[in-house]
Amino acid sequence: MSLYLVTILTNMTLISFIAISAYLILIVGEVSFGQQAFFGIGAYMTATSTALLGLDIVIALFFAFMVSSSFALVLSFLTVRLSGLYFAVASLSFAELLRLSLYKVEYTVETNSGTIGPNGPEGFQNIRWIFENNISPENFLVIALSSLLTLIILLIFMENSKLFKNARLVGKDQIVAQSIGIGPFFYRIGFITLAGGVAGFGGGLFALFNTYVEPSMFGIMLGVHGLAYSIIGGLGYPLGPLIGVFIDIGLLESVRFLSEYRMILFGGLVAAILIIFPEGIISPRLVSRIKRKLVKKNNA
Amino acid sequence: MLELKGLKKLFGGITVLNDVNIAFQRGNKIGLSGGNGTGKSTLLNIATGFLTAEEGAVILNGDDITHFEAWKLSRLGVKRTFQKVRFNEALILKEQLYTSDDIIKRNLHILEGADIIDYLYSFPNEVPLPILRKIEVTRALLNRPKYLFLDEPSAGMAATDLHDFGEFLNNFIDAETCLVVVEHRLELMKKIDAKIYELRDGKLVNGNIFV
Repeated sequence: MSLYLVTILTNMTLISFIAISAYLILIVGEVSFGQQAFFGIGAYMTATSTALLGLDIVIALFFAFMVSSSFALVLSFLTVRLSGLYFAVASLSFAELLRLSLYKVEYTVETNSGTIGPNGPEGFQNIRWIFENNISPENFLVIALSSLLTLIILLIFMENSKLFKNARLVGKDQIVAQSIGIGPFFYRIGFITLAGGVAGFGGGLFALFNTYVEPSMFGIMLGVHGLAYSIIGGLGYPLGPLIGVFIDIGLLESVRFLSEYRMILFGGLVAAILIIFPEGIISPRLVSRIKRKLVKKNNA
Repeated sequence: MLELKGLKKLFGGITVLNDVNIAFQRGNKIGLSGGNGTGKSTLLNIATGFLTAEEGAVILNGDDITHFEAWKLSRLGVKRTFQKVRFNEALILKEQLYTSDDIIKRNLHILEGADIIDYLYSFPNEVPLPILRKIEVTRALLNRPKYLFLDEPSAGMAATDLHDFGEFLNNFIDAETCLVVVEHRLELMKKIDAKIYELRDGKLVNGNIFV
């Protein structure tokens, strides 16, 4: 595989984590414009753990998950009375607050391989884990892809659980949920927190792969893309967000010659897909139809 | 026993309920009637936790549950249906019973009695309204309600459907449940032989009646 292709595939894998985190929040009925911040927190956490503290990657990614989900937990409590548009704006404000705070975080250490540690607007440089451990881009792709696959498989199994079904009901109709004894509060808190963790984990991998992160990388466009992938792909099944990523990045890469006009194409593409598939490609209704077909086949 | 004591509810300065007292005893069937805007649905919403009254209390077996959220009341056995049936268009009806296959199997007689088995794998938009109403009631029955409030179940139902619906209620609401039907038509209440109260000018007309 060419290095170019490996890089594209790795980027697709990493951004899938944001898409899935947006998906998890959409399931409980909210729209978050702030998942990029948790991605960023995960990235900074992992950079700190590996480059500054010399911790193992597994522990570093675990920290990334825990810390970013803690921030998400705070967001979920702060927004407990907000929904719809108000939640969307609150999530964006929270994300910008965290991102802009990173501009002020400075703690650097000089080493043989250069300055490391968060350095305000200049970001966190020299995250050398990938070189120190002789990880080739191909190997890193394998690490990222297998993490993503594990997550997807986990979600596919959980999709049939009572937890997820109740969460979907909370997202669809809180009044019915309440009437059958499901408290929306817990599901919202739980899913927003989990989504933060997933984004943070992806951000951690991103920091290792990129070897350098700075606050401006975690702006709103990153979150908007993640959200758009979930919406394009559909909320019916955990593979939806991945399909969104695949369509978008696949297409955007193939039209790189259009340079900055690519974003116009991206907007047009989202619009076109949503006209044809108003509920995304793998919509909940499509999944239900397929399930019904399978049941009928089994009974026949 | 579920008691509503001294309920007062205002909507923008208009008094909808004014010192309403009623008690619901398990095993009873009660009809709450009244014209449009007399506060029937408001009373139901307060009893099931979907609204909070300005004054007064909701008492369940002696415990004050006035400020409990609706889902907590539902867990305590206070269930309801909706005037406009609420289903997710994207899910087959079986999934919208929100219960396990095991419980469905054990309560198959209810589903058979409701005549809804043929519709379990349909989407809501493929199913006539009377069936959807019975599915809503079945959903509540599968969770063994102690108090079941039906909000305008006859809305949009023809006379024959209503007869059928009443029959279903008579067959499957047992002595463990208090059934409360909120309606402005009387046919269904007569069919299930409910004790009828009327809301007028924010009061239960027959005064403070304990059933």
